Amino acid sequence: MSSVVIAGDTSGTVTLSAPAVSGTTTLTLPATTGTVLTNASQLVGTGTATNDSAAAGYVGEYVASTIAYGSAVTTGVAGTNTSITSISLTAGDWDVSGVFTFEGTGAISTLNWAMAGGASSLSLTSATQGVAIVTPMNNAVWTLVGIGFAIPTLRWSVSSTTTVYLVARVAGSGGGTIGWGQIRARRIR
Amino acid sequence: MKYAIIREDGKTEIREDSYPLQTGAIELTNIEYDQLCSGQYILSNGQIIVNPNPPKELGAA
Repeated sequence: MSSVVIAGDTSGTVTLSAPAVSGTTTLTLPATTGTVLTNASQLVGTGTATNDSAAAGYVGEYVASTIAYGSAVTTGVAGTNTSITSISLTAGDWDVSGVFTFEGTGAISTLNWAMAGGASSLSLTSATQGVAIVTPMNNAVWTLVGIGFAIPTLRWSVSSTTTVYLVARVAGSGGGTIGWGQIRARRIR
Repeated sequence: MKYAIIREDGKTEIREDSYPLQTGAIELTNIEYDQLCSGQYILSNGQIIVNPNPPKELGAA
């Protein structure tokens, strides 16, 4: 038998009977390319009930990379784009967000601003979509303790495997800075 | 899968994804992952040890 056709009136219900013995009922659809299961109405399903992870390629897949304080990267004060870390996203529709923290490593005389965001290269600017920027109101406040800020969620719709960098820039004068943080992505569809 | 890799510049990247484990990667438990991400612990010679230079607390000099 090459196929089974389920037919009924338009308001009918299709019910899969429970297995005769204890087990999981599974409805398997063809896995060939182009197979799309379409439901024009509300889709109801449970999420995972444990601390597992979605498989690569599935909705819910999670990718993250973290540079902790102990591996902080030199970011300086010259306003130079620096890659903190990166993630690799396969083709799909992703939500990407992050966090960046930095602190002074010497006598900082002036801190003008700091920015960070996700970018496909080191070309981050203040005009880059989704970039987060901070400008301190009191330079003396941050010289001993770092400043951290969140990078808002931004959609990354990619047609092929793409590297997304966590890029940061710190601009000021005197001393230097180190930075650390995380970039993460969730496959949303 | 949670794991750590040592970059060419010597920095430790702490990663999580569903890709096949990379060559040289050190697989982490959930607890080890959280410890490393906190900055309170570091990876040294393949072992997770207390960071002798942890992130500063607010108000600390």
